[in-house]
Amino acid sequence: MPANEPMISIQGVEKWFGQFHALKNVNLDVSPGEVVVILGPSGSGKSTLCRTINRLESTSEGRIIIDGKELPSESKPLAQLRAEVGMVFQQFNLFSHMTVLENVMLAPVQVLGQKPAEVRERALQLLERVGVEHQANKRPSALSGGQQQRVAIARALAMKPKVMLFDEPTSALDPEMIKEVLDVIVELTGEGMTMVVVTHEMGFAQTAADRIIFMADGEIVEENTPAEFFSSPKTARAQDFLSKVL
Amino acid sequence: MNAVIENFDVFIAAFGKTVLLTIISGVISIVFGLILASFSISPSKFLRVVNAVYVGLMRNIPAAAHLFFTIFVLPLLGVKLSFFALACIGITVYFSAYFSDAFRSGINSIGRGQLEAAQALGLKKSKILRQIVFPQGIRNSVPPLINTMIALIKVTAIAGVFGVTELFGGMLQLINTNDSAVIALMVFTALLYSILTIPAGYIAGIVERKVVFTT
Ligand SMILES: Nc1ncnc2c1ncn2[C@@H]1O[C@H](COP(=O)(O)OP(=O)(O)OP(=O)(O)O)[C@@H](O)[C@H]1O
Ligand SMILES: [Mg+2]
Repeated sequence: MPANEPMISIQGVEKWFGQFHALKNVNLDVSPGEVVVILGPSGSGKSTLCRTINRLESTSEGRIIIDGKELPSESKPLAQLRAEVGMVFQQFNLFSHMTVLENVMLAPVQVLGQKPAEVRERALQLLERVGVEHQANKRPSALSGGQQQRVAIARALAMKPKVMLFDEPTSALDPEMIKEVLDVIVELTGEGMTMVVVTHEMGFAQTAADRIIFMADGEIVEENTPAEFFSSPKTARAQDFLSKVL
Repeated sequence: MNAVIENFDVFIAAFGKTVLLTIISGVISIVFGLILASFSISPSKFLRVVNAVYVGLMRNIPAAAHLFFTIFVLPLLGVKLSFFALACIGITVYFSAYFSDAFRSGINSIGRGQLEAAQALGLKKSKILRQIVFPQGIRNSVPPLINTMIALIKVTAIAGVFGVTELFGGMLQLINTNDSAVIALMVFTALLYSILTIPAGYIAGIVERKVVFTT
């Protein structure tokens, strides 16, 4: 793969929910190792865009290419491609009938066919890295929201994904737990992980992003560096948005 | 009271038959119910329709009509089986529909996020079913399953009216010969049914608190 080829390439994507035009001609390339933060008002299509990248949401038109491979629509190759794209949800979505450790081990064993003993070792290391190693044998419901979200991140990382998608990873958390989760995400940015992060945490966006994508009404309205976006946004929509959230 | 003590062995035999009727038709109904419920989440539209039609039809026919049909009409059509076996068939046909719904409600209670998380990790459909949908769905189904089982225990009494000497049928026969002790015989019969149903309801409550997942 040539170094300049994007890790994620979104080309002319349109999304309709019935009569509602949720994504309008979205074009976006994300380079390997780049951290793209998507900002925008509620209902602007941030989640929808994030979810089309691993086809949890189908597109009405356009192409999405991940690491040179176009997203397939048949379920088997799609599952293979999804295995290379980690996703962290607002509501954590840990498997409630499994322990924390089992949550992290499931996909490497069931999808990649790796040996449980080896996966277990790595899963425990990941849990230690996100600071929840002492909860390994508990059910998710016994953990705090912040702990659950850190487990969810470990679960995604256990697949050694090429890309990580975060859809408002801290929006369901109590304020005092937001930092512990953001710290884990910031650590990942330092390791060259390609990431797309939808968030309302402006401080995080400012420090962690390589690039800001600002969406409104299903369109990318502005693309900018964080420094420029927060000090002198180019578009009136972005200025208006920032005046409300900052 | 004497009537109860004198006929204790009759009661025990009849009670045993109720338990047997419950276990045999209960187990078979649960198996059929699970198969029907898996139709309802099948990608095949035909199978989904089969489940919907079967459940819709069977649940709306009264239990007594089911048992009347299997115990009195089937033999006229040439089916040569004991009243007991015919009663098992009637109860099974009826309750498979209810058990299908019990499993379906358990499966439907699984949050969408659980499935999306599994898809996002790259699990194939068959593995999502085996690893996520069935383990969670079946656990969430346990309380409605127990409640359906309690309903089934009570419906077995109808078989007593149609000639099966289970608990209720046994009681009817005893009443015929001991008409002065009707109340005592009925109270004792009610007690015996309660031995089955009350603990089951109690267990359902415990299970609901311990096993069911809220996601
Ligand atoms: N499954 C769906 N069916 C119909 N409309 C939908 C569906 N999912 C999303 N939408 C609509 O698409 C629009 C974009 O939704 P989306 O969830 O992507 O917004 P968002 O930018 O993530 O907002 P928020 O900040 O509130 O999470 C909204 O108007 C929403 O109502
Ligand atoms: Mg959203």
